[in-house]
Amino acid sequence: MDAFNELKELMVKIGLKESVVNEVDPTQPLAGRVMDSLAYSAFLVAVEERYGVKIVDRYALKLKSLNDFQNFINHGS
Amino acid sequence: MSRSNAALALLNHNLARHPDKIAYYCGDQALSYRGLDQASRSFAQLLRKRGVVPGERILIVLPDCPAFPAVFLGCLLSGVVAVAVSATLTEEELAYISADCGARLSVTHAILAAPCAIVSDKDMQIICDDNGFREDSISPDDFDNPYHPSADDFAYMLYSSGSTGKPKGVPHRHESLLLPCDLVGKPLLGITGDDVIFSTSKFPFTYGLINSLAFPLSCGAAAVLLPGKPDPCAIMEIIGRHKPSIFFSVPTLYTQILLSSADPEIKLPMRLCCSAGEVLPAALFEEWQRLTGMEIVDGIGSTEMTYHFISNTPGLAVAGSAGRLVPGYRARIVDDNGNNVPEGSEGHLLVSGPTGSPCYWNLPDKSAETMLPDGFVRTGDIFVERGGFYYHRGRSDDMIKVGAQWVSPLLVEDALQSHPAVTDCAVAAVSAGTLTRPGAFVVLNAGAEQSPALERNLRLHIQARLPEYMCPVSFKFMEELPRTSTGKIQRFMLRENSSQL
Repeated sequence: MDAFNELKELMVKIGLKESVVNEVDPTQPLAGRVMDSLAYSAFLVAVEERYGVKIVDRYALKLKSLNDFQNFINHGS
Repeated sequence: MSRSNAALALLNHNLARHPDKIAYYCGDQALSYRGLDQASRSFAQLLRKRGVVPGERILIVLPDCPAFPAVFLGCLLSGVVAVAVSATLTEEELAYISADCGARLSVTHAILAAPCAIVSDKDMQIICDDNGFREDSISPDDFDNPYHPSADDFAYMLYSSGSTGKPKGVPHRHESLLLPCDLVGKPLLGITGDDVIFSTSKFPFTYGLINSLAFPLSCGAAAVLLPGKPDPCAIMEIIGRHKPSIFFSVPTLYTQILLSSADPEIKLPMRLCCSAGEVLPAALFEEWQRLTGMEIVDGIGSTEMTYHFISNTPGLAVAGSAGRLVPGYRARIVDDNGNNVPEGSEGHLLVSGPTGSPCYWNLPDKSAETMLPDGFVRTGDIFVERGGFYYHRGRSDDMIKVGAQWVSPLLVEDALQSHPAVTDCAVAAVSAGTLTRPGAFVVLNAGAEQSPALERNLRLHIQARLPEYMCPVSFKFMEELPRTSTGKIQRFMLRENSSQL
């Protein structure tokens, strides 16, 4: 499974509805549209656990869209 | 010895100077200072007509709308103690607080179901609309002879979450409403009558009460109210519509605003952005400054101390620091034995100042433990001081601060324990991005197996029982929890483990 679909799977795992996840525009910020503060924090921690990485402060505020997360996972930035 | 009635002090000078100036904006509504004065006096008269006497408590459960300041100030005018609690509390929480404070009456809004449900005798409840209550037989002109408080009289009480899971009443005297403006609002933040203030923290929280009631009324400024949930869309809509000059919020919402914007810069009309309620990470301070061109002026206060006792200064804010001691307050950083630690060493922060609450309501043991005989109050925070600047280093208990609200691990553990797959659990602070959030550590019973579906099920189970800010962001499954020889959960070990993952 590619990172994009894995990330969508994580979204479902943290409690988002599958129908909402399937409609996510990968270019748009997740916060305020798809995720509230709780969901965003849970997603961040789920990504850390899934990929065994620590998302340090300087990245945490710049990972906004699904594409941002995918780039971070694939390229570390 | 008689003291100033804070309601009179906040209303009268505005009535004399600019009675038609708008005090509150809320959606399409606006309430002038004259309107606020009349609504407050009408409510004070209603309390007298109902036979409520000075010192009795009134439970106020209202959203942030113009009715709140009118009811709150009406209580103070008549000497009745205003007990303000969040409009999002459950029936169970409201029933507990109502009984704890011995509420004589409750005041609420027709749109709120829970406060209406806890009162069986409708004569014991006053239902307001957005602007206050209406009763044709009551006129503001009927109210004369406002109450003159003595030095020992309480004016209002707020509730703060306790480590046992039960909220603690924190009563305050009239000067606690007036002094924060003289100590912080005017000298540090430079608030004037020209300002338009918008606080995302609500009235029943001390940060919101001072930001949206004490500061604007003390300075003759205006405040913008948001009755609903302060999500990034609602916040930006208000900022675009009312163009506030001062914005008070919390790191959780500053983070949400940044994350919800894809633009390379964010243009905002404010002259000042302030933060409190949880630790402001240096990375958030710097990213906000990069995108908006503005610093965030951070400070730390508490329900017990009313407002900031440590604060940064606009133009000189230091990333990662809560700031310097506010003139008028004293602070000590001490070791476990109560001895002062050298500069640069971590220790427990104790504070003392003129806005401190003298006790918790009906909790003499907890009061004696927190409010010390020498006037200092234990904050429960670990701090280090370097060159006059204070830096937060954690908590000395297991409480977790999320978006200016305390989370007791016990409450979350109780909710988690009610899931049939859970045999044991603990909740401790974990890091999520730049912020701190509750994390759950779960031991499953013999018949349950760890799986993404079970984790999702646990999340939904908790979300159905607790407000959003209390819900764990992560679930870790363990064979057993770290416990002391007497069986007490060692949550600090879970905190340490979390930070290493």
